[in-house]
Amino acid sequence: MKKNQKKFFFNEEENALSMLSKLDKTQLKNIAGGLIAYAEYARRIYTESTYVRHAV
Amino acid sequence: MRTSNLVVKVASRCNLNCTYCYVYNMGDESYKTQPKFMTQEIIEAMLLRIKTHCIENNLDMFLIIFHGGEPLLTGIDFYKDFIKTVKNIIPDSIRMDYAMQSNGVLLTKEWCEDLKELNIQVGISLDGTPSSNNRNRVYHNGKGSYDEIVRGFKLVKSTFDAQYSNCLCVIDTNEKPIEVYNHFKDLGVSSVHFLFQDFNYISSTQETIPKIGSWLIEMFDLWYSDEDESKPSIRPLTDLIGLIFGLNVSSEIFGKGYNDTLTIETNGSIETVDTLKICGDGFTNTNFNVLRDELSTIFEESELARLYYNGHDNLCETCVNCPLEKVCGGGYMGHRYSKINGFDNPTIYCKEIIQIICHIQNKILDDMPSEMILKSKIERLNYDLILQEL
Repeated sequence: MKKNQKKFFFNEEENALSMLSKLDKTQLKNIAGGLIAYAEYARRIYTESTYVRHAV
Repeated sequence: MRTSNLVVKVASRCNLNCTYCYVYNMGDESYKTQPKFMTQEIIEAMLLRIKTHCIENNLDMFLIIFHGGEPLLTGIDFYKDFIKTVKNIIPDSIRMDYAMQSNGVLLTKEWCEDLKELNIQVGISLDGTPSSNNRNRVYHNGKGSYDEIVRGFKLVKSTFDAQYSNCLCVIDTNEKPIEVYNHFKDLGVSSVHFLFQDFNYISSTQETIPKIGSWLIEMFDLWYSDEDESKPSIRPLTDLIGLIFGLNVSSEIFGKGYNDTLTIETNGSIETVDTLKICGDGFTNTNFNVLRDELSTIFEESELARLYYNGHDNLCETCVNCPLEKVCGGGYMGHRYSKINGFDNPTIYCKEIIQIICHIQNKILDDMPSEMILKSKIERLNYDLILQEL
């Protein structure tokens, strides 16, 4: 059990990044779109000693 | 337990002798007993094991990562023959993907075109500035390799689609983040992945390791504020942002995913990932070999393989009590190792990782609408308070 029970991170169900990608132009909005696409293909975990980027 | 990707050590030697290399210069000497190149006999046996493993685990895709040493030391015909052998052994129902991690020194335009034709994606290992690269990524005679690596990178970029111009870069805190950032931007890199230099408690402490927390904070601020739409994607910054937002973007270092990569050594031995060699000479050695054993044997017989697979679970008490555990995931397993406690320690980069996660979380909240923050009941992280509570 963690001593600190505060919430510091979003949950997947909150879909926070998708909401941000619809906001007015901010740096975070620009990054949000790319991250959503990235999550689509980042389903396999690779060792850090290699760079793997495959098309979706 | 099952694997979806293999690091395949097609060549056990390297044309470079990088100062920080975990294969040759971090205390493991097992490469000396390996054959120089993987034979056709080993390749065929390995592919038969992959086929069985995919069928038994209902996998319809599998990734092979050509690695070394330097994988291009085999010559290009090795890869033409390899893909032919794949087509003879692996059924069409299993999609095979290929990647290669190279220093790029041996690349020619013709080889690049052949690799593209074979659908082998090439990542280049290149450090953050010419001076850093020439200090650390050196030939066996001590000469720097920057010019040759950049020549290879430019061949990859001009041959493959620009989005596949990716680099791995070991963080050198002696170099200014702005110079490193501009260096990769000037090269037109699509994405760069900053690696933590390998240290653990065998010969270092949390106080003696490079201060990558403040270095990555500076890098994050440069990247985040850069309005250039063609700026590179930067890992692990994007991984951390995604994890803060609850996305499933776990990595070998961060998040709570399973680490299912295995390594096939040049002689066919089946091992846990090679970067764990930093924990001691022969640390990843096993008696399992594709000539005799299925890939799943290592999960059944090796405690190290099971520990690595579940590397983001069963963390030490400090990590279990830490409110950042969901994002940090305990860090890379090899960086947690000590001779006394084994892996039952926080990562040696613990404070650095807390620092960068706190900074990114704070910056993200600064840029979010206040009603979204209120609705989600997210609170701002405070680095000093987190450290006090651990």
